[in-house]
Amino acid sequence: MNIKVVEKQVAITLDDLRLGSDAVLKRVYEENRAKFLNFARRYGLSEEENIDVYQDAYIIFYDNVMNGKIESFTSSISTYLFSIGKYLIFDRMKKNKKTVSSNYDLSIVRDDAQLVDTIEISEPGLSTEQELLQKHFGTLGKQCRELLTLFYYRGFSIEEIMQHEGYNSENVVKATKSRCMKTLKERIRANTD
Amino acid sequence: MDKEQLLQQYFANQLTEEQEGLFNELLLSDAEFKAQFDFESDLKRVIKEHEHQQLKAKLVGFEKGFAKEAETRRPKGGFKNWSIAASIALLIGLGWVGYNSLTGTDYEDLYNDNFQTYPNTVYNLTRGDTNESLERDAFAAYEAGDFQRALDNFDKIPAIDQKSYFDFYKAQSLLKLGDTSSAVALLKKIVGSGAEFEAEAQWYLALSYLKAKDEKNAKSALQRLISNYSYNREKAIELLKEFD
Repeated sequence: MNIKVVEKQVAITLDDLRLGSDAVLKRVYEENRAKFLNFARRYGLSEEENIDVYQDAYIIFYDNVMNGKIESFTSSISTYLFSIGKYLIFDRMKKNKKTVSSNYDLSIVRDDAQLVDTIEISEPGLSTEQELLQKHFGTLGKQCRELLTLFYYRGFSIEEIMQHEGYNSENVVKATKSRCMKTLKERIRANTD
Repeated sequence: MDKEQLLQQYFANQLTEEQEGLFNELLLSDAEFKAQFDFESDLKRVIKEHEHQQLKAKLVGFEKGFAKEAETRRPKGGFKNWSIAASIALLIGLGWVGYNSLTGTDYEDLYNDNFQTYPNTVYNLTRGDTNESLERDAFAAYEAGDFQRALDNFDKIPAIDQKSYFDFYKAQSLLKLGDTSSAVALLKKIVGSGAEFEAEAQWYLALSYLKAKDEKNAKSALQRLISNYSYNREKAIELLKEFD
């Protein structure tokens, strides 16, 4: 998975992103920011909204790297960000009740459709049960939160978690994971009884 | 294959076609299996939300850094007092400490240059706001900069409803109110507890010691941050150099 996506400095790979260091996060954010904002300005949202959209696009891009929807870079990172960003901008314009005039280059959006189709963009807000779960997830110990995040968000396999976190065996990882979920369920039950 | 294994493979995107058939069958026929599946799906969604909030807070932090950077480039005459303070904070943040050639260590300045109230990243105030809870009031006050009211509200929350991150935000409020020693006591409780904001608490503990002009503890708190956590690690390294 060593596909070059950035010409300058050392290229950032999908694996770099998956590991999620703050330095890589910041570098990718900074490298694409000016380009993105320049492109976004043509749609007439405020600068504040453009920055907000850029951040949301970035988060969605990152999500899709984590959940494996982006398995290899078939385009540059900026292309992903632009495609997602465009989708978000149009969504926002609809909400702001601004009409999308024919001046906007919708053909580009169509071209991007294929790229956007492969990734996951919008999601409904949290349900009541999920909010309760969220509240109790925050009360779990660090080990549990990390293990569950690696498994459910970062898409690490049990074996990868064992290696990454230094567990003795896969069974220990599985047992710990079960225990964490049991604790979580018990806390929710105690709260709702 | 046991059911737990089946769920685990589902969430790892590793089901074979045959297993997928069994999986779908169980979802329809086995209520317990379905409940466990729903629970794990919800958990996945919640963790994603949690990660989004953390990531958004980081990105907002990057933006603040850029804004301050822009301020430093403005001509000197256009400076307002607050922007000078912000610029200096940034210079230190960027590791450009040479700019600020201090003669001796001015703890108060170091504290002011580095202290920034930690944003509310745990309670989403915009969600379907019918929830008139003390926690909501506390975070609303916190975001509005009314730290006394935030603290009062946190304290009013019954023990049974206390959450692990309250102590961290209480400590933030205490620091803003100038009660450093109470803040230190709370931050010490968080550090090493494995609770949320452990790394952040270590950073604010170091800053609290700075404010209290306790060089020895400030240094060891910074060293602990550098060796154990990645949060603000570079800032801590730069700050530590100030003592040399």
